[in-house]
Amino acid sequence: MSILSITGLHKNFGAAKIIQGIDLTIEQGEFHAIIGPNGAGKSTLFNLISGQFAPSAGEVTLQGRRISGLRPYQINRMGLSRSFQVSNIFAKMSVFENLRCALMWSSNVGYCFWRRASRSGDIDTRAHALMDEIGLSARGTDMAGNLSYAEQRALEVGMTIAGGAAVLLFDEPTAGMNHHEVETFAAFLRKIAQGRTVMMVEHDMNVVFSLADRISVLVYGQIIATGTPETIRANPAVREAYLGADA
Amino acid sequence: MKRILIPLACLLALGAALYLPYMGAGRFVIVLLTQLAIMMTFAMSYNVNLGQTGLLSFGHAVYLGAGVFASLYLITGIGAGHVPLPLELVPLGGALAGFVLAAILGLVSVRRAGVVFAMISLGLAELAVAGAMLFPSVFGGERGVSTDRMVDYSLTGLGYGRPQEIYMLVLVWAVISVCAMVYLSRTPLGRLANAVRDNPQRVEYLGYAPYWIRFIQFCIAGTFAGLAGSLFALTYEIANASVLGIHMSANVLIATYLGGITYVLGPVVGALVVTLLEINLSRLTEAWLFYYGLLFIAIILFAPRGLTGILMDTPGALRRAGWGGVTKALARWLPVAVLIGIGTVILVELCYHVSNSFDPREPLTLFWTTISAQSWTPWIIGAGMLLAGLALFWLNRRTAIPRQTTGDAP
Repeated sequence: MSILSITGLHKNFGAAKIIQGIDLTIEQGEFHAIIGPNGAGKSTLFNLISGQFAPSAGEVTLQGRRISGLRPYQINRMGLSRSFQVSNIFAKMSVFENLRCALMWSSNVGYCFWRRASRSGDIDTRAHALMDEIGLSARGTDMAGNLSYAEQRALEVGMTIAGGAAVLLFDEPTAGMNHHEVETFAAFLRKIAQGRTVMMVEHDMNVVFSLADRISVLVYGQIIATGTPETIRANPAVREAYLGADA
Repeated sequence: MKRILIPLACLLALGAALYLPYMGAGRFVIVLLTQLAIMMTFAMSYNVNLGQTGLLSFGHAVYLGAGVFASLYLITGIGAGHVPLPLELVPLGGALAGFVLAAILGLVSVRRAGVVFAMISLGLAELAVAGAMLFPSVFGGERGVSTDRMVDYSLTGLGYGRPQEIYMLVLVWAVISVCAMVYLSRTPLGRLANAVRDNPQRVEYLGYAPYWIRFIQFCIAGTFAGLAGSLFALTYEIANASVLGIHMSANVLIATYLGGITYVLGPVVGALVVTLLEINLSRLTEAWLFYYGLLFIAIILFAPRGLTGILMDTPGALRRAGWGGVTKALARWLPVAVLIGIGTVILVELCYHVSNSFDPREPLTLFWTTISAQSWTPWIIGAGMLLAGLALFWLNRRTAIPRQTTGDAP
């Protein structure tokens, strides 16, 4: 069953056509990676799906409901959550508070100002469980801005999965990490992705080919191929457009 | 233990403060404490915007003013028998006025934070003052609006004619407000406001609209500013349009910054210091505003987390340095502080005496010595001390051990 479907998606910035007609469906429970050379429009695609920009044409539906053109917070409430290329956390708040804020909407606390945050349902328990899951339990009271880079990336992922969204978008989760950190983080992502639907933009081919169920190759705003890692590796057009340049 | 001790200490302090008039505290102390309570409420409400939500406002006094004028008319109405409301509940009226105005103006001003919000708040403040001046029948022009708080309708049976009585009423409302705002900072909304302050984009991707978070916080800040305005009206019984003005807004900004915007109770510390300076320093010297400005600049430059930050850091720093370290640091920096401080005071007082006093040839008393501003000696001594202090400061800086960076080891 397809959970996210993109049809005829276009985005122009002035005369520049960044996304030129994308059709793509993401199946329930799959790990779908988007690869492509720099400037292919991968980040723009994520920004269109998550609501940062409205598309120039085409539509995106999540579980059958149209989400294109909505605000990011509306899309998030409907069950789509994303992480960012640059760590996008609340630097002057503790790790625990970061996660708690990420949990609030799904805990139905709304904009409550008459009850203490710690007394709002099981929000503290959930925040602690999440902290365990992302391996930051020992750093709960530390300010997020003081975490190491890899820890901030883990927190970023933790905040993305906090709300229990049906679809997760990871935008270059291993960007800026050294080789050793990437390996650890890939294992972490594999664990996180279990039982979840994930769409990921990633530059590290080892990570992509080891994690993804399916891969789509984006070149100049169009998807030139979609398939399993084996078919993508064997696809001559992909080799020419992208992998070939690497080899 | 800490959870019980802190509220208990607060309750005891409140009890003691309420008991003060019965212990025969002088009128001066009572007036000072009343002013402190008003300023405390106002500064706390300001920090709901600035420290908690990251909204730098240059027009917070507009909402104070709304509370002031609403309350002045409300008190008059009660006195005339038109409004069946006991005097103790007047602050609710002021709060409502502040809330309504903040809800209206908030709609247009909180869409963006940062410079955009700051500029809009500045514009709205100017607009409010100009608007108030246009309607002297409502705002009383230069003369202002006055009322009489002895309305003979109260819950406690107190007449509230004496400063001691109004002090108790103001204090109770101020404490309720401060507690409510501390509580607010611990609610989901308060936490989300911190998140919006740090990173509004991320909040939007967590299912919340930053606009609404800012808007609700802005309304709450306006509500408590209106309440503070009510306390102002009850205390002074008179106000003109200048309470809405930029001077009042700047004053609360400075008080809040001095106290420390990153701490929930920072503004209370700031209000305390500013009120004490305003009342005590202004009796000592004409140049008090100058020193006030210098203090503000020093805090911004050397202690951006404010006086509360200094208070919070001191115990840890003392423990780390030990007695030897403290003595050494004092030996290094105390002469600098004394030289710069005294040198500055001498020069400032001489300047003020020459330019502002009735007769500049009259001798002035400074540090228990009588000196003449007409002779060169005090000028040279002042300048010498200041320069020596600055030179020593520079020397200390150069010979200081490079500060350890607290980054992660690679």
